[in-house]
Amino acid sequence: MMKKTMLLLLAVLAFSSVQAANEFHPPVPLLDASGTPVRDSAEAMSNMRTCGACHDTAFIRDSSDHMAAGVFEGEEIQCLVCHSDFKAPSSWDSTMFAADGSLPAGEMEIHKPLDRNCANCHAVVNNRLDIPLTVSPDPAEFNMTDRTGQIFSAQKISHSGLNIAGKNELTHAFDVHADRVVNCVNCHYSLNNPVYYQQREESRPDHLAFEPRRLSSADYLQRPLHQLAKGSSRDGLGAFESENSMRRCESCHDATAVHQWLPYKRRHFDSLACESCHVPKLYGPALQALDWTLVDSAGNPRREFRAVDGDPASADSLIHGFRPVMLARENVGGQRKLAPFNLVSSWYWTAGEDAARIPPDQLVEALYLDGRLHPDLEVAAGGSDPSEAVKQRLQAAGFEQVALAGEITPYPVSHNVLSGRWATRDCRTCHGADSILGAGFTLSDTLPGGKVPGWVRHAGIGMSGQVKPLQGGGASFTPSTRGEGFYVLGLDGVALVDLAGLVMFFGILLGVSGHAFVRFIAHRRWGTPERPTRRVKMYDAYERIWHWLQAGAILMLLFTGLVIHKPHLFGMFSFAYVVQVHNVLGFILLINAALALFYTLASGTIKRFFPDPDSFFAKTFEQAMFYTRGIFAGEEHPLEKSKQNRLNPLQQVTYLAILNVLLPAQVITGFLIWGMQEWPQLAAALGGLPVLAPLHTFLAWAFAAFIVMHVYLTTTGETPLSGIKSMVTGWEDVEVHGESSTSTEREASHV
Amino acid sequence: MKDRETGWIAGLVFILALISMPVWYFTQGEETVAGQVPDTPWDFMPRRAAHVDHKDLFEGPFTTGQEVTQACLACHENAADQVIHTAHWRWESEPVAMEGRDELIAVGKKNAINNFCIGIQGNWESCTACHAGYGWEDENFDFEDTSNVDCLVCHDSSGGYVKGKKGLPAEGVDLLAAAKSVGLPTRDNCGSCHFRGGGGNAVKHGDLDESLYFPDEHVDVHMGRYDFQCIDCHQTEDHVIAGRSITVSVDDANQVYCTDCHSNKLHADQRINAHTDTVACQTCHVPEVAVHQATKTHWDWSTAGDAERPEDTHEYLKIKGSFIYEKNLKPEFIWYNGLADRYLLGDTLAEDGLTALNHPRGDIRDPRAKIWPFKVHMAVQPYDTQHNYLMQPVTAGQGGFWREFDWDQALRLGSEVTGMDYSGAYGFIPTSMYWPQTHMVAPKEDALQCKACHCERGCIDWEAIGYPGDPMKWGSRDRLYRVDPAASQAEAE
Repeated sequence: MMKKTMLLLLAVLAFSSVQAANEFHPPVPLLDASGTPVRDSAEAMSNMRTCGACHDTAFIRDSSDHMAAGVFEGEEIQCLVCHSDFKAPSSWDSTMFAADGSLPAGEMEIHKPLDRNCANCHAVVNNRLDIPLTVSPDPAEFNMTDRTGQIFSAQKISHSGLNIAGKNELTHAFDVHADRVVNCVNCHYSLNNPVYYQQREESRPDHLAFEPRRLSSADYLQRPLHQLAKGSSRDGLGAFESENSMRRCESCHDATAVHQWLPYKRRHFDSLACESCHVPKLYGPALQALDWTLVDSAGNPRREFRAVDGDPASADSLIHGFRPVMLARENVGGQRKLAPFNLVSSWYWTAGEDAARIPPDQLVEALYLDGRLHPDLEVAAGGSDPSEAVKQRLQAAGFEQVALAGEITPYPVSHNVLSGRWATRDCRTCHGADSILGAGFTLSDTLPGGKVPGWVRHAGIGMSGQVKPLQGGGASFTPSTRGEGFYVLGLDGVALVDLAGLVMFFGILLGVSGHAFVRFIAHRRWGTPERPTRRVKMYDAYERIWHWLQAGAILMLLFTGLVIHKPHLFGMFSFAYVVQVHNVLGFILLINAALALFYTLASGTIKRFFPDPDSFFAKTFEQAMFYTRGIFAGEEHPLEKSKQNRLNPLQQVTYLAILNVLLPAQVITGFLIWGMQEWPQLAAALGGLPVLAPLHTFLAWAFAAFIVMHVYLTTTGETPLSGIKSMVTGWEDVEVHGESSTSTEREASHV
Repeated sequence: MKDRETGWIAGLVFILALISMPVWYFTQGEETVAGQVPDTPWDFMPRRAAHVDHKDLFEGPFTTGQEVTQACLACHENAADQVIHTAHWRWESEPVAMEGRDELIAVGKKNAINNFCIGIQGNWESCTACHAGYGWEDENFDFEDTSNVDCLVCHDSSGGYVKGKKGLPAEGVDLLAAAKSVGLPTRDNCGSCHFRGGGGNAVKHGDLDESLYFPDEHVDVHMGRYDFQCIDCHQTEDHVIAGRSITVSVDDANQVYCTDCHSNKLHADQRINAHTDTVACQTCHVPEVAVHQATKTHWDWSTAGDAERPEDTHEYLKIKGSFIYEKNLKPEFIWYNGLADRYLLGDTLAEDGLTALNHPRGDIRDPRAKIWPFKVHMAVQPYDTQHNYLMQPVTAGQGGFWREFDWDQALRLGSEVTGMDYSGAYGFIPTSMYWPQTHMVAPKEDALQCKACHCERGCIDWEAIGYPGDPMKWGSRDRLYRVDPAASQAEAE
């Protein structure tokens, strides 16, 4: 026997790990409402009196968000719900107590709120790594998780007990903060906790970054403010003082240091909440719709869960997870950013003049007889839409002006954050026709009473977009980023601009093709007369380099621009890379154009772009006549081309327009769009992306159309290819008109 | 004409260069985590030529193992000479200096004492079934005689080669087939002894058992996901196989490290990389052992010999006493600098009643020490109450405890073999043994998460390992005690 004990002792020795109790909080006598130890009185314990022996419980109660929201019944605040795992027994056993009326250490441990305390009421929170996480079959048990699907747990999804599609690949924790030992109260801290306290921005003098005169730990322990820091969730307790008081992601994280890979980092940070990419998907059981049309006998609505096959709490359901919808949200500091939300649609009955909602208990009373469905409803209950029958029943039960209301409530998502490795990184997730920012988000699979739900307005949440009934029942919401003042490259093209551009481009293509065809027929029929020509050095080396560099850059800009504009049509290109290439090309174009301007100014050759005002109209007419008639007849060119005088008046006008209007406009809009990264206010002053981007697109179409025209007109020289050849070699065979000028002779002598 | 053609080509190249150079220059740049050293483990994976097929090289017949060895040596002349200088043959180290002892120590399975079957002395016949040689039956075995080297135990690929008592081929083994099959050692060869340490599957090591013959990746990612053989990590030169364990060795030479192949700072996470100076890779990446097979954690010899008690391999055997086995064992975390203390026969027992046979060395202030995962095996084993030292009983041997169930006789016979004084008064005393856990490396998805150690309270007794509290909040040892592992490592190099 002794030997057995020895082995047991060994086992204990090997396994003894200290059950670290909270050594800081001493055992305290439990007092009842009159201040007598419950050991003696056997009365119920009073938190106010017991904790009030040291802490200012009146202050705590009066400041408490939870108290204000009516979480606790009566006048007492229930400290132990959040600060202990201790559950008071129904009656006290006096032998449990020490002499001073306190419970011995280990019986009742007092601590700061642990995640499991918060979990008592708030959503599914589970920090056990060893027990696979599951969801209780009772929806009341996963209250709050059901609004968004958020689960705060360090457990890896792949290790959880939920039946999630493809979960073996999801080898990350439900929430990275839970994984990294960040607890609920690390973000939702008491607002006067000196460890976390930060002065509100608006009350901070400009010269102070840190307020050193703060509460001492002793002050705090006595009077901890029970307003807890929180975000802008509308699940909040209505404590507007603490609204948005929580540290945002950027209060702890230096995002700029770890997003080097992200092009337009600042731009993204300015328009996207961190959660937009870092909460790519939610896997908890989230509601999609609550239908109170025909409640059950307990007054519960029909629940529709989002992206779940079957009942999420049952073992045979399959949770697919869903991507939250992105809505514009007003953030701290007034910034509007796209942030993830879940939308829950609900249908309920209203009655009376003021269309007040009929409460569930009255519904049950009207629709059920002794716990059984009213006979009037039995047939309808089996059908797909019992709303009409229920309405009649409600009217029969005495309700007037009965109507079915349908509304959409947005619930923000801030938990279930994933680390960068698992966050959305693919640009095309947002940039492209299939962008998640413009994707339809299911509101419901059915439409009770055919009623399309409408938005309930919430301050600071943008709801631009379309709510549409779906074929086969249900409805969906398609958000509009442009409606919220964003312009997402690849998603938010303006159809009219593209249409105009296409018409312009193909109109010109069609025009020059027709022209070419007629030229070809004319050439076949009448031939082209032989004319004396002369080789002329037309373009200097620099002019040719300048031209081809400009041509190459513009062609590639047009192509990369098209990829950026419609990325979904060019799946093989990396969006981010193409954007960067486009930017570099833009600068090449800009520098090349600036050098060329300098060259033409310095050399004085700029003069050749300016038409001679005296003969301008005559010569323009002459040139127009040549293109519309003479060219077909093989007439000689109106302009005897020479190095100095090589642009006809039509060309002069066109180039003046392109170089003074089109190119600068395109370069400036492009530069401003590029500059959204560093000088967003500059672009914003001109209307921001929603103005600049469509303009840039339209000008790009104009360039494309110009190139078609330009290339075609190069074929109207002495021979179809002589124009292009001359831009390559610098030498062109030009017609000799009656008398030659001395300058051209001098050039010819160079041959 | 020719000039003109080359001219435009040159122009084109020039233009393209003008465009592509800046594009190339401004679009480079990869995201890296500061301090991360990329991992290229496959660069260190040995690439071996296909093994020569020996099928036609032997004619046989072979009647003894020694004949096979002779045939092997006909070509591989130096092989046996190499083998007889290795630990697999000598079961003893070269004499090495040990801190706290005056004379050099040569220790190994040959003379060490453990808290499983206690020791081989006097029990050679049974124990030497795992000796890489033939015929070791008593203290007179000739370790210089190369003719007794057993090639087949490591090189048989037929799967039909089995050793019996004294390390001789078991009856009925087809030696010719075994000889024809020879190849590079596989998990089967190594596993036939190492997976059955302690006399049965999974008994001794915790991280080595027969589930590694056909492991799935959750048992061991190297062997399961990538089909590693033992020798891919335990790389071998001239029959000297890399790797050792403090359960039999006292020095740290020729050790195998994760960082032989993996970068020390390979995590794409600065927080995790900050751990690697203090925490061994294994601590997180071997989150549990005995994944499929329970391993022995407690052995009480004092209850042996009770004929009345019902027998169960995992609870009680009359010859051995009572046991506790544990499956999915979570290792214990202990500072370890690669060396360990060693209880040698004749050493006085610890005063506090629990004698550690091989306690790992190192503590929080030792820059070479890291927190390592250990299987701790507790036992209650016989000792001489007069001399106050552990005794080596004869168990399997002639007149041993397993035959006679007479402790006094078993200990007396043992003392005759070891040459130690036996007072005739014996008792049982607790001992502990520390097994570093380094196999059964889990896939990274199953590695320990932060909260396994840094939980609210109660996961780890930080004070017991020298911290004032969770270093996540209190700071790590470089801050607390000015211990700088990186600097000391650099110094060592």
